[in-house]
Amino acid sequence: MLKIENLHASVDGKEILRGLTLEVPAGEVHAIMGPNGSGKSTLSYVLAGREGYEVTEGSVSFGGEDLLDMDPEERAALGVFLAFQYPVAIPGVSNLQFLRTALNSIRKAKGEEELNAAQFMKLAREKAKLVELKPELMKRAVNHGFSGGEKKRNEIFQMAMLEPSLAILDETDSGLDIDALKIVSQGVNALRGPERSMLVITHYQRLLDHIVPDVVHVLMDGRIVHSGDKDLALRLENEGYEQVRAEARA
Amino acid sequence: MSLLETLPASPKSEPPAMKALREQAHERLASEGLPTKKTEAWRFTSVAALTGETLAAGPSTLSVEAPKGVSTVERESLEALPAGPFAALNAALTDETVVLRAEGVVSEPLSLRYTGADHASYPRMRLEVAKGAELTLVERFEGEGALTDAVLELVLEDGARLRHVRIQRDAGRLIGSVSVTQGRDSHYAAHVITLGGALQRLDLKVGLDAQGASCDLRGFYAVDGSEHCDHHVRVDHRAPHGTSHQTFRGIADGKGVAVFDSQAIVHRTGGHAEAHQENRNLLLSSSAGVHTKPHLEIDHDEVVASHGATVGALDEDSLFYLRSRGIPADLARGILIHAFAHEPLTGMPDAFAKEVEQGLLERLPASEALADLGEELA
Repeated sequence: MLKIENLHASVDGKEILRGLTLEVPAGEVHAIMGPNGSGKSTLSYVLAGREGYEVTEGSVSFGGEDLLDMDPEERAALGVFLAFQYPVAIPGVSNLQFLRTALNSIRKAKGEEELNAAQFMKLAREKAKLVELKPELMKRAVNHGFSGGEKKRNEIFQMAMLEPSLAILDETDSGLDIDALKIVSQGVNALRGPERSMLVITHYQRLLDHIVPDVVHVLMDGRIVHSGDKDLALRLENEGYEQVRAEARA
Repeated sequence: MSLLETLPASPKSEPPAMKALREQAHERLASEGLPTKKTEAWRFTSVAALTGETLAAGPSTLSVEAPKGVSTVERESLEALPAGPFAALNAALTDETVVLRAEGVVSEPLSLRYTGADHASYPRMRLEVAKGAELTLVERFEGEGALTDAVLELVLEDGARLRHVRIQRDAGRLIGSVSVTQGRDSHYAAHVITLGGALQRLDLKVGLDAQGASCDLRGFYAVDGSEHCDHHVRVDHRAPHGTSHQTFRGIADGKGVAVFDSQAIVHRTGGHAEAHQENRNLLLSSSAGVHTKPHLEIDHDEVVASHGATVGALDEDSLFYLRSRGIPADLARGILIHAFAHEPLTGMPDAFAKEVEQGLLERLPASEALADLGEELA
């Protein structure tokens, strides 16, 4: 389970997260919704361990271990996975070689046997079907020349391969048309399981029609101001964030 | 004391073809001497350590393996002296001039191996690629030379095609001059790879001297520790419909310094030209240095041209992306540097690409894990 307590974090000296508290038990899918600038992406980067995000107060633990002390690769080995809002293109590095290196690095860190080329390819072919990722895309350079939708499918494909215990989806729906959104959501739903926690960060309620969350949190000004069930997302869409916050205060 | 007085005596054997050249060389050295930091083309590269004794010529360190289709020829006199002080020094002190000629389509590569020694050496070579002939030339510079001052003259006759692979892994001092003369519709492709070395300087000059000639110059260089490399490239479009591409990339780590200076000049006679220059550099440490200066001079209206240069650190976004997937920081860096180096190597014949790859890997972080990555996945 993911446990965030009173988290304060700054970027370039500016405080973005201001006392965020949140718990995601194993097996649950929690959505975080919030307006622009509320700290959604900062939260995902702080959880994944990106440099430049300074935690000034509070704690984050996952499976009982202190996440904040760890390098990004150590967090990945522990089972943390961030599906990027803007996946990075890396010309000259093949998608498959990248992913095999990632998978084997994690296996090695966990003391498991590394996969050989044949075992890896078998797994990759199987998982690529989940998000209908074209085989030729697997061989191309990482996200290089991929369309927006292909990049997001590639993120979910990576998630399927690495089988994280905490998946953070940072605006995975942004830039997707409805068909791509359905495919990506199906992929995510197929990966739901009793041992896997998911944090779905989004701006739009639409995604939550397809990935139905157990809990919806409202993030504003760097804090969770309100939490509720999936219907809260609909209310946010219809009534707006300020209205929901005002009611929560009352 | 003038430079000439400090020079060792001329070599005993005097190839007759060299006589005129040697005289010119002496004249140039007498008037210009060796460059100092005030010499524009040597602003960033000091040769102050090269003095009288260091310059004394020892036996040749060049060995040639010529395949069927390439033969030695005699020439009455050699072409004009290539520009530059070290080409003149070479002409003044060389004791051998090899002239080779390739005819027809030669399937095996012509191999030249220079082994740096604890004395200076002045190998000099001229290669003619006959009309319509095709050849791959591979030069390897190895060892730890006190000074290798090598001059190579390449003549591509009409319709000739030459692929030139030059791998500079001499850990010592290597100063090279390559001048290329291209005939009509000829094509020259170069892969210049410089991996380290105390002082590596290359002057590569290509003359697109007849209609429709084209060249594709690719290069990769890497410096670390206190290594220093300097590439000066110049392409002259002197005839119409010439095409030139320059793609050079480099990495500088430690206190290494890399210099890249490139000119593409489209002369009044060189209309309908296409000239592209690209130089990208990765600066991997704050103590390393890169000086880059690509420039275009265009004296004609009908030209398609582009040029650009960048110097930057490893991309933080990419690094974080790899690490967030579980790849340790060192290996992630190695992967990104390796990918950066990839482009100038494309199109290189496989056998040499592997050799360069190996040399490159040895210089990268997490090289063993990186080597495993090379395994093909299908």
